[in-house]
Amino acid sequence: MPSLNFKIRILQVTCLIVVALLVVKLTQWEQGLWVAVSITAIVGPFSTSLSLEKSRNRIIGTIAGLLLATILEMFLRYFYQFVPIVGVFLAYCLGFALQQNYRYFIMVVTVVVCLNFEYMNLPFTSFEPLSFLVARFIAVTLGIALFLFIQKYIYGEKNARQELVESTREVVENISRGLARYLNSAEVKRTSALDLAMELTEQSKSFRELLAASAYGMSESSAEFTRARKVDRIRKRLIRLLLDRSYSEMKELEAQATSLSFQQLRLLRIQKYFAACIEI
Amino acid sequence: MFVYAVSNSYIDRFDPYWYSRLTGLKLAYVAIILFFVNGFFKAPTFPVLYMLVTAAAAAVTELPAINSPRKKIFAYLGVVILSITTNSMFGLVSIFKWGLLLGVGAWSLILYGLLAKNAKTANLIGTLLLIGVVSLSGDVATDLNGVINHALYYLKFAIVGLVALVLFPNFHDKVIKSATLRLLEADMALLNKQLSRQEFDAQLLEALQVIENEAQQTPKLVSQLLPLLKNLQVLIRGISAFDLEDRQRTLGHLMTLHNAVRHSKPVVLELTGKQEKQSERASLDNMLGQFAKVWNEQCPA
Repeated sequence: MPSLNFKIRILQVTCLIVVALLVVKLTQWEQGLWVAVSITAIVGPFSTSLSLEKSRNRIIGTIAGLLLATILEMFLRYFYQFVPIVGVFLAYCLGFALQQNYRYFIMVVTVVVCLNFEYMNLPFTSFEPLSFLVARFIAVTLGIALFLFIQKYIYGEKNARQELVESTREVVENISRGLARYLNSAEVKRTSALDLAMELTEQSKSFRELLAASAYGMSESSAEFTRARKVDRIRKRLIRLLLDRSYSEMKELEAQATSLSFQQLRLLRIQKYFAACIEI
Repeated sequence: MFVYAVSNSYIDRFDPYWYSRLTGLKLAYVAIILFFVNGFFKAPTFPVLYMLVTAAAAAVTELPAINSPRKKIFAYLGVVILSITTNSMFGLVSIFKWGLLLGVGAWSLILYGLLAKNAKTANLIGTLLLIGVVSLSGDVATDLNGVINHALYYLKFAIVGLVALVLFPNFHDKVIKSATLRLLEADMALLNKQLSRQEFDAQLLEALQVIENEAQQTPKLVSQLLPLLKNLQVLIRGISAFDLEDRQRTLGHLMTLHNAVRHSKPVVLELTGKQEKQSERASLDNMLGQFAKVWNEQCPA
């Protein structure tokens, strides 16, 4: 069942996209569509904090992308026979940048989309690189400004906080469940400590991303942020402990049996701590 | 050529597990095919837009979460169908004065409601809406006949793209080799005390997860290599005190393995069997020997 926070966020994101299109409609601006493109791209990750982080990267990536697009467009104007080669090269760059930092990705996307726009409107394109650069830059900046204004002053921090709380709770539950499964003697043979460490790391991936971006969405001194960092520290300690234990598991020596049960006690203590966290 | 090489010291810094190179290669290959197709079966309006949908769908198939041939085909078809629906809907409603606002708003609500529950698909909605908004600046189909015509062209490019993707060679062994290289590098750095235990742990878990994620792409290689790599990492991490001679020997073996993996060549390790049976040294030598054996049987191209 989706949480209330999730439903509110869906409405917020939809409103943002509609407002962007409203701006396009009301201003009747030729480049206005870029405002909508910009906002649609920023709200892509859905999460409030991640969107805020993305908006920062987007502006840097867009400036770099626009400069590159201008150079490429001037080049292609005189050497149009290179269009397929540039196209294939851009396709490679786009694929490469897809899993890189969003800043680089948006840089390549800006180049690709700019050239697409020009190509789609070939008979009507003025080929004035400076106006091309400035108009798109203004539209993208306006889009980002609109997003930041609505996000910061109308939507506020509440959603970002709630998202972090939900994500933290999910991590705690995953750890608790994983540890319970691991400590259940009937299942020990099925899940090794290393596998559990890998599983917990994978499950906490989105939490770590959200935590890293949370500074953009809320005050660093907020209780939610402090608690999330605390849980992250414990998660790291637990992973370390599980990796230590995987060595003991592998050795299977009598001498290590004592330390093994000692570690089990420590794991139980951590599990109890997480159970308390869930109750809170 | 650098785009095919398992390891390139400069590119490895940005793309440690070959994912980006693989996606780049795939998109460039699809682009070449689509350019040829457009040369013979020219699109009625702007081919870029049709290609953009195919390119977006092709790019999605190489995301780490889409890790089996079956998932790739489903993801590809899913993105194509949703993209065509989005573009068609945006075109149909754009003719009305406030239709675009209402239509886009309603469609966004539906898409987010259905797909945003999963963090992995939540990102996709932004891309779908983005392509839809970009399509508005092209030749928009505002009647049913136009929509059907456009949809058939989208499908034509998408089918060609799908065939191209199915015929694309399986380069996923390079992802596994890259991850193995990162593990061996982390081992060497740990033994040389250039890496803290915490950094080593993070590297170890990340690289092992990458290999595990490839289990359905290259099942035989992963099933043989992964348990060995796991044991090797746990053992190297667990051995607390190496004496200097042992450390130099192990580093030498790791370096030999690293070179073999990097150049996809067979490896010969000179392991001595003089240690006591239960010693850590013997376990490590045994594991390195097994790794070399599996490597020689499975990996060199």
